Amino acid sequence: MFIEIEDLCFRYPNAPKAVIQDFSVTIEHGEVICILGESGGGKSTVLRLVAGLEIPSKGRIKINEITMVDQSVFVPPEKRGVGMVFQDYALFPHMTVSENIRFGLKKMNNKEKDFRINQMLDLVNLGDYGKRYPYELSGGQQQRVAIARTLAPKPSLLLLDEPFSNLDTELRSKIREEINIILKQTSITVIFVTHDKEDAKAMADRIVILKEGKIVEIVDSILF
Amino acid sequence: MRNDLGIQVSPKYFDIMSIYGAVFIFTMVLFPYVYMITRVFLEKQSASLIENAKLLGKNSFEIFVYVILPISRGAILGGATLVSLEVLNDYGVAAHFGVQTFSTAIFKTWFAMGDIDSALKLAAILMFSVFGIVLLEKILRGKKKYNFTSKVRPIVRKQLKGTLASLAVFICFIFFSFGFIIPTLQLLHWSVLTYKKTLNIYFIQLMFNSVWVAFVATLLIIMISIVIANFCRMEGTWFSKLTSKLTLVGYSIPGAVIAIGVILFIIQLDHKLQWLYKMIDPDSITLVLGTSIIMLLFAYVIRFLAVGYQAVESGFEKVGKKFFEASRMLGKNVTQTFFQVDFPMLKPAIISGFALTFVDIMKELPLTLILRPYNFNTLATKSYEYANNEMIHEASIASLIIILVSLCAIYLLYILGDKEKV
Repeated sequence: MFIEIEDLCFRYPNAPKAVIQDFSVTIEHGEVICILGESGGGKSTVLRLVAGLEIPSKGRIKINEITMVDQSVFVPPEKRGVGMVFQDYALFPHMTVSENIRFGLKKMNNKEKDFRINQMLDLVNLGDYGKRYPYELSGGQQQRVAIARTLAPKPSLLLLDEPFSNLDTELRSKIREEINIILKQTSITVIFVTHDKEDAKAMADRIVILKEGKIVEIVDSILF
Repeated sequence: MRNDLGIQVSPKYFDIMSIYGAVFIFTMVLFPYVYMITRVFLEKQSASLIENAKLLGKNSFEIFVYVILPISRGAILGGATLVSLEVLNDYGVAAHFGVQTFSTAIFKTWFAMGDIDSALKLAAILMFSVFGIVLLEKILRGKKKYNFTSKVRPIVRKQLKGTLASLAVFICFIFFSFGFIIPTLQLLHWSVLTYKKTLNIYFIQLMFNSVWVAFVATLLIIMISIVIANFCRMEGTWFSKLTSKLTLVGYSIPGAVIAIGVILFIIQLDHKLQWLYKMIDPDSITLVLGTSIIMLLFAYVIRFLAVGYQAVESGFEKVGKKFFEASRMLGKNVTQTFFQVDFPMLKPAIISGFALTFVDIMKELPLTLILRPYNFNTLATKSYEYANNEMIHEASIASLIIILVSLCAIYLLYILGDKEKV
């Protein structure tokens, strides 16, 4: 198994109830998993725990046979090799599109970096936009930059937090298709979070249904 | 002016050098504290409040009394509290107008009479009144924090016409002229009279002192502010909240009280560090820190940390945590993230914090007077000395430079504010 999440629990300090309770799931290499649930149901918290942005109160996360977190181990987010696209994209406003993508590239000389940046820009169909600043792009373009930036360092796992929530309905299905194509091209393992059943059905291999922090069921998207 | 026009007014009826004169000056000078805070507050309120009141059949006066005044209570009180703290802190105006205040009394008992115990007692009473004021604000403000986030449409200012418009302009002009135009013109006039006498090498030294001491202190304050604000952003614990609150305390404590506290603390520290001084230099004097500029810098940091901190903290609040997290997810550690992401994004907040703190320190008087090393003068202390020695004309150039530096800072803030709007 590529990713193993076991008995994950999380509670915010001073909160009476746990946000996540006994969350367990295993994911295979190249699989696209969707966590579906209502807002405030703890979906994003699962992503933040996998990313290392929050520390679970209990449980274990293993990626590629290596323990990322349990009672005694905690690997910081920058060392997990996990990429995340944030709900509001979080593109650095003081950097151009190219600089944003370059930001995560390491252990490469400048030529290799430039090559990789162009490769990513082509992947998301934004070849001519490298010199623009984020505020000069539309919402859909910003999202594609965010995906390019996240994929550039070749993460082993991609996390998408409500990837379509900021887009209007017309654009939604178009961008969903585009992203689907990009993800298929890279054959990367994906966990994404949504409250929209259509999104879940269109993109995921399996769907984890979450209610009040607990897994209700895990279903194959064809059967959903 | 009276001399030029040949008008004689009996001092019995009109004597500006009195407590009434001081009240007048404070009113004109500190008026912006209440005005600006209330104005910024009202700008953030929704226009639907007023429109609703109108639809419910209230006239303008009723809306002002029943809607605008009650919702602005917090802002007005906040401004008024700041004004009372500024007045309690003041030393220059009170000393010049011969008004006995706690601050002037502390100076007198400490310097003229050498009575440290009484000075301490006065400082303690002054501190209690400060706490009283802050407590009173909390009680009056109560739990009514009108913070509406329904930012539908902001309140639009009503365009006045005819007599009313002229009246409004006239009232604003009164404050502007008494608070800025008249004093500045007067200073310009005096500086023309005296520049040959005061502008010399010594004056350049004075400017240099003012600038570098303010620069170093501001730099320290901004660095400490960044560390604390970042700590608070990362850790939402009670300890970080307490640290953040503590930084604000210094600004509410009058300069004279901080000065006394710092002197006592540094003298004790000097005694404790005797062994170290003797180890470095066997002939070392007892008060190493106590006779150095470090004591003054330390006091500046305590008094003005709040100014820098609030600017930096609001910057952190605006930037939020998401860019930090995005950077961590892209493989950068905390330090790399700070220099490549946080710092460039915080720059406007840091610059405005720097400008505000720098100006405040440049014009600071009571702390500098008490804590400066022997023969160390700044523009503020020198103009105070001139004024104190009946040489008010000679004080003009130093004062004008302080005004000029403040204007530059305001201009800088204005540009930054403009940029942010884009």
